[in-house]
Amino acid sequence: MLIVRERWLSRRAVSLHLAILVLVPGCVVAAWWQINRAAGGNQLSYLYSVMWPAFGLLSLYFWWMLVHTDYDNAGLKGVRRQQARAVSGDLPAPGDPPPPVAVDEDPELAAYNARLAELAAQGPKTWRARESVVVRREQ
Amino acid sequence: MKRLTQRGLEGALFRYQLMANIVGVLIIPLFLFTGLHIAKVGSFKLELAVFGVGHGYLYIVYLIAAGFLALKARLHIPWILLMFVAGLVPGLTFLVEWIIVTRKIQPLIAAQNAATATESPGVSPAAQ
Repeated sequence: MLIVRERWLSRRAVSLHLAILVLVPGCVVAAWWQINRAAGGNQLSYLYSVMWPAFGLLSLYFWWMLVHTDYDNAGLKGVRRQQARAVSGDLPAPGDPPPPVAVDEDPELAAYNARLAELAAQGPKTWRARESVVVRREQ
Repeated sequence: MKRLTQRGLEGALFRYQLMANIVGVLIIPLFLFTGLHIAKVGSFKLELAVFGVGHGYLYIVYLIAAGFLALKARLHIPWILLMFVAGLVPGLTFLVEWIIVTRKIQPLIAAQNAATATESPGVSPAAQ
């Protein structure tokens, strides 16, 4: 539930929710006003009655994308943070190869551990960052 | 033309700059004619309709371009709001575009280039 709280209930996310709660009803009201004006004979309002729903849909789309934006591994700060991590070598950055496993280990266990390390490096699974690697058992 | 359809940060940056300049130019006559109309210098209904609707629809395209650039560059919300509002104020569009490009996008491109240059050569387990 930590990921839910971080994503949907952080200060940033709540301000996004508040913005969308104001913007979407506002666009609906403005669109309804222009539709009524267009029905009353104002020809210019036909164009505006399409524009307002477009603003509403756009704000919904950007609200969803901004709630799901990952600031940790991309963007200016993210790139610099990753670089600093790669230089200091403290933590493996996502995308780095996992550390080599000991040779005298059981190969199946080693493969399992490598898989676990890979999943941990990928971070939590979200609708945008789905698992891209599928492990197939060798026959 | 190639930059217009390019994927990634460079393409998004070019589309944003293009739309910022178009919208920034269009809003100047819109405000001018609105002022003249309110000051009762004459009736400018046709000009107001053309520039009003033109700016309105191109502003939607501008919002899309600016929003995709912000998502690509991971800009924070105050910067996004500044970009969106800039399309509604005459003159501010050019200033904000310059600030965003020099403060945010060019350092990001430089950092990305530096990151790919220093990347250690390693084969990912997925590629093996």
